[in-house]
Amino acid sequence: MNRLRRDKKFHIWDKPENVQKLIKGFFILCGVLLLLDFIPFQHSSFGEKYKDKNHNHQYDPGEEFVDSNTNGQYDPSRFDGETWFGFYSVYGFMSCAVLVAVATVMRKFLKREEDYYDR
Amino acid sequence: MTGDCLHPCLILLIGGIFIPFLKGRYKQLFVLLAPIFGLANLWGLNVGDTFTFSMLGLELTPCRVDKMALLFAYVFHIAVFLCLLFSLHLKDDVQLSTGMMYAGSAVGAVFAGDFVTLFFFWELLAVTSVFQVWARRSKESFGSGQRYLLFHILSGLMMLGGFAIRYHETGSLAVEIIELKGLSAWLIFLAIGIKASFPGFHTWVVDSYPAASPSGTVFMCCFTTKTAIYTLARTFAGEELLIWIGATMTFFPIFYAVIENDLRRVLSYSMINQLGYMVVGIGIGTAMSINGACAHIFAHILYKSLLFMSMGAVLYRTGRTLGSDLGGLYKTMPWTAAFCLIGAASISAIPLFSGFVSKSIIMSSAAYEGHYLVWFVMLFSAAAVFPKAGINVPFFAFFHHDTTAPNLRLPMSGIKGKEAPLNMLCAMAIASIFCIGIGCLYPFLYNLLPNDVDYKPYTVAHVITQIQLLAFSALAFAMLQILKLYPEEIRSINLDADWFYRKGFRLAYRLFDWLLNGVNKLAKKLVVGRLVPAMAYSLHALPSQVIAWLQTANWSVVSGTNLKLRDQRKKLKKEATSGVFPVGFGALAAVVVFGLLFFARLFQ
Repeated sequence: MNRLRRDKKFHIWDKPENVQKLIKGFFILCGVLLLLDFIPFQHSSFGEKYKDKNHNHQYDPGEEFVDSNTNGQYDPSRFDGETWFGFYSVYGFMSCAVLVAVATVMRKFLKREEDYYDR
Repeated sequence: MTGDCLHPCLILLIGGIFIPFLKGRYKQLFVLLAPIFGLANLWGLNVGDTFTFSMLGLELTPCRVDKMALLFAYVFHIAVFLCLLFSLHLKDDVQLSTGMMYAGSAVGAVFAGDFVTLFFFWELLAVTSVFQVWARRSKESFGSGQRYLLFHILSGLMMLGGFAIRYHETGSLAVEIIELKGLSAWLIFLAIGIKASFPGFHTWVVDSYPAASPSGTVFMCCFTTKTAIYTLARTFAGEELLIWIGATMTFFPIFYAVIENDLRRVLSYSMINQLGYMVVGIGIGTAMSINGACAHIFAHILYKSLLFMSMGAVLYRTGRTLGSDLGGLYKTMPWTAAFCLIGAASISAIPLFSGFVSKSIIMSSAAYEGHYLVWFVMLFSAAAVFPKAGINVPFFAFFHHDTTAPNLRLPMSGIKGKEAPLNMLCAMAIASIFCIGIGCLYPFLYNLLPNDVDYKPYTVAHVITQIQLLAFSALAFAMLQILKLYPEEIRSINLDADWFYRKGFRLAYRLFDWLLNGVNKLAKKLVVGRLVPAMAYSLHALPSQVIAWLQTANWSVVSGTNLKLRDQRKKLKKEATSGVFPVGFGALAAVVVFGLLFFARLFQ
């Protein structure tokens, strides 16, 4: 018992306060990251190829690819949500939430005992 | 080969054969030096070198050197060095020997310029790798190895059929870009698809990787699927179908990963997810996206093997990899935990780690080309894989509930684990250095890529958006974990496509058993039990009846004998049953037959 207590002193995550501090720090970091979106650093990377058609791209020597949706023309009405405020933050959050929600439902149908295939 | 160097696969292939003949330190030294010599041998190769010869009237190209092949050869040599260093403590010669030959066959496949050579190494990959599964020597791994072999032999046969038909049609054996049209192209496509774990064919990965030995999985995660992706880039680059197949591969395995308990199976699912990015890159087919796929493979082999090494070390020390039975190992295995975190950061594409500089190229090329739906799917997968492979695996193995201390509430607690052996730690340390090194000094990797592309991963926008994406995904994970909504790790398995053959084939077996054996039983009952006795009976009963009928008139007229008519019949039947007739009767029958023959001849 004595040894256990001595061990505990060395291990940082045994103390619930430390875990709480970590989680708090992480929440603050997320807040700061969201606020960074006020700085206009973003631009949409969609359809770069069509925008830059005039000058030759080094990375596409064949230039064979034609998007069937737009017949190779860049469509300016195209989605540019990348530049919206908080796009990546919301998308990241929702991805995980949707993932877990779908997986929880999936588990209901797909879960079996460990020896299922040996039976 | 060309005078100043050997064929790149020979050192590993022949080296593997020598391992069982060496002992102790010499063996360990040899095992570590062989990949280094192999790597040094690659320096003797120049881009554009080819080696051809004729065999049985076929023009074969066993070695064709270009930048893409060299890139793969470099990473395969680094990988096999790490794998062998990780398994250096093993006394099992079979595993070490086949492991080295396995890497040799992957290198051979990479340099193959024709389908005959490719097929040879394709099959050799299957045969040498299965020993990594069997090396665990359990009933489960034996079964899994057999299923693994079935998949890969099927892939080999399809490849053989595909290129044989293609040779017949076009007269060409060269490994080159093929249009996905016609039987031969589809056979080759599916043969590669099986090895590259396309959706539906992916079950061998999640079946065999968790069943293999601790170091076996490390070997397996480096070579087979990567050789397949390389072959795909050689044969079907720019094929649009691949974009959708790849997007599906990035997408569906992460759902399975969330509800999976075995941490090595979680890593296997996340590996299919990563392969998906490469397949998308090949499907887009521009110089930039092919570069992205190649860079991602290079980075992926190193961080994936690092993750499998850390789980291998946990399995080696504690004998388990189930998330429900692990936790708190950071106390006893702090170094392994740290290396696992580096691998996790790399797979999650955190800036400054290797995954970031490679995955970004594929994502960017999808956006540049306007594949926005695919881009959204990939972004979803990039965000969603972080909580699972990036946080969950280290979290459940090394943190979470403490299983190192005795605890009555946790049935599997009290693990007496200790830090991994030195050779394992060294292998993990080198892999970690590569993961961080590639992430920070990315131009070294970019210079090795097959096409000249100017791409900058570290732009302000890219770094900030990536951190936002991952941080908020982790935030959702943290909140779900606090609210206890995140699926618990529980002892269970989940149905996947393998149900169709593991249960379906069993059902088919039972169905055929019932149907075919039923027909068999019925046939036995009717033919053996009824028909044959009836025929046997009729063979003697029928003639006696006919004779009796013919004789009735004779008997009634000639009543020389004192026997009654009924007794006459009985006697005749007895004679017919035993096949014995009076000599005179036999002679009479013979005369009648000869007479008939005589008249027949006469009237002809």
